[in-house]
Amino acid sequence: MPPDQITVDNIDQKLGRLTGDLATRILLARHSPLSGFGDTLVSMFYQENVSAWIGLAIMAEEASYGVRRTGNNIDERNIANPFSVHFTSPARWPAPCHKNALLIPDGSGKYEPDQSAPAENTVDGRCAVDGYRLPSFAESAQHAINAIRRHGLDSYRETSGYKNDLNDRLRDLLRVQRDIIFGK
Amino acid sequence: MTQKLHFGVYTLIFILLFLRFDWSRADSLYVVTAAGGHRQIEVFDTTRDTAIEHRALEPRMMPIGDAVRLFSAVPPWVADPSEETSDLRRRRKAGVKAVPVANYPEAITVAGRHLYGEVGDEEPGFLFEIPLSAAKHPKYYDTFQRHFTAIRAFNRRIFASYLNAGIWWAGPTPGPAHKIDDRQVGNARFLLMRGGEFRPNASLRSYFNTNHVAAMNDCCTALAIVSGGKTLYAAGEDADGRPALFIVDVATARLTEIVSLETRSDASIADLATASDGAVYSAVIANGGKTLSVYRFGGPDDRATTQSEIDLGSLSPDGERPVLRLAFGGNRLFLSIGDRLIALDSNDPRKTVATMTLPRPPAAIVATGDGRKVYLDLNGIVPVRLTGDDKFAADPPLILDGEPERIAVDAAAAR
Repeated sequence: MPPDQITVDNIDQKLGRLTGDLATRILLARHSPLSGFGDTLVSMFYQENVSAWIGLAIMAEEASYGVRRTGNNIDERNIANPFSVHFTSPARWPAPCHKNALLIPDGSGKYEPDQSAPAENTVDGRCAVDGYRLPSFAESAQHAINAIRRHGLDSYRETSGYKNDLNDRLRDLLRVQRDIIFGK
Repeated sequence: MTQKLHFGVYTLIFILLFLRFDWSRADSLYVVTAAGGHRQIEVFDTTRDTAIEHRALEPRMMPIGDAVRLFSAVPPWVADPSEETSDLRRRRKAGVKAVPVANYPEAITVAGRHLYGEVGDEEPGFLFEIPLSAAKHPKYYDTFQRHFTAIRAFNRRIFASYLNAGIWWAGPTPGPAHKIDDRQVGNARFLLMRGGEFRPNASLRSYFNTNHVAAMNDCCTALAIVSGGKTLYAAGEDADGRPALFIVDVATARLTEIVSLETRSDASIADLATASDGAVYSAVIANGGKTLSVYRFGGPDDRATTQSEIDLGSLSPDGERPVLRLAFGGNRLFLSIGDRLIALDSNDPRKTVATMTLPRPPAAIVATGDGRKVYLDLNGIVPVRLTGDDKFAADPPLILDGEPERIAVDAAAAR
């Protein structure tokens, strides 16, 4: 299958559905801290008739599969919410906490940035807040699915072309992880 | 007699001008600080660490129609989309003509007496340019991108990168920011670098030519402009998952080269730093964070490349990829790895010149052009000198008028 013929619209037909096992192996190969959610990703997306390949591509595009590196500004909020769902307006939060928009409102919740994390991109302590918490992977996925179903993929970015970007993501994925995906 | 007097006066004037010229070539440190909801730019002379300038970092005053458009651009999957703009629309109806927009820069850089910054992380972003030597108004360029990663500028052309959304450029002429085209890469060179040797990367070229995918899907986490200002280096991954340098011609803002690094499978580029001779240093971390490779690209002969592998050993905690930041000054390469500060000899990066243990990993590190001092953001800005006998000596934190948020050095040599 030539990669250029793969799109978000036809990947399930051309390549077959993403399985939980395959999603897990791809995430492990990418050194993702989210590799334990392969089954959740697949079951939630297909349950709502949205391809789980799309979910995987969004995780790559929005949060680099949750892989933290110097300079990529991925922090615990991106890892908890790898689909970048905004539960509140970023503008509601004071600088430097606009990324608190990724937190989910929860009256009994409390968000305390993990200051002991030795890895990159520790969250500023000023971003601690009551009434909000880190969302679960399933909560992030569910709201992403809702957004795709209601507004379409192109609504996922401020500028147009998001669907093309996800097509590129899938093509790159088929190239980089060809050994895993095609079993060679 | 009169001639001698004139000669003496002219000589004195010349000496004074020379001294003034020499003084003006001291590097300046720029610190954005916050206090009481306001931000300011505090400027320090790096020779004496004394404050020499202080100015407010004013919020961007935006026509309210533009503000509605900016914040309407936030994707509509927000739980309550109207939250983004309802207040603005209400104020527009009430007759408000312009509104202040937050001025919190995610990063700053200084070049040619202009300070540049990027505002917006989880919201649509814009770039600003503030002239430092004249009372001119700032310029703004909208990018509408989220997930900002790095910013650099040269000759009033600004480059800003966004995670997995490529590089955007703007200036010096007014107008919107543009994305560097990474889909039409037919004229770009594709190279694979192994052990300092380059060879054509035919496989990757074929992939892009056949599939018409964007080349910078996993880019960019760091940017560097060589001192001559000809090229921009961007750090990312190529479509084979290898660490890669994306090289952009500054004048035309075109992607001209993709250099993939053939190295360990888990390797990634942690940071880039520009050297005064036009070279770019690239720090590649691999082997579970245990091995650091320092690559030197470019320089006077443009294509010379050297590579030095450094065993981080006990500096790198087990199972954790350490925080690594890079700065260059003089003939010293400064690394902060976790809570360690290390100075390496740039002529032989395997040679450690000085080390120091820090109270915590710094949020940022910048070096003066002569390499005699680095400034670390450790919740305060701490100057650390490299003494004549190559030892680190920390000075008291700078006295600031607010909480430090961003730092940058305008190296005199690079002006």
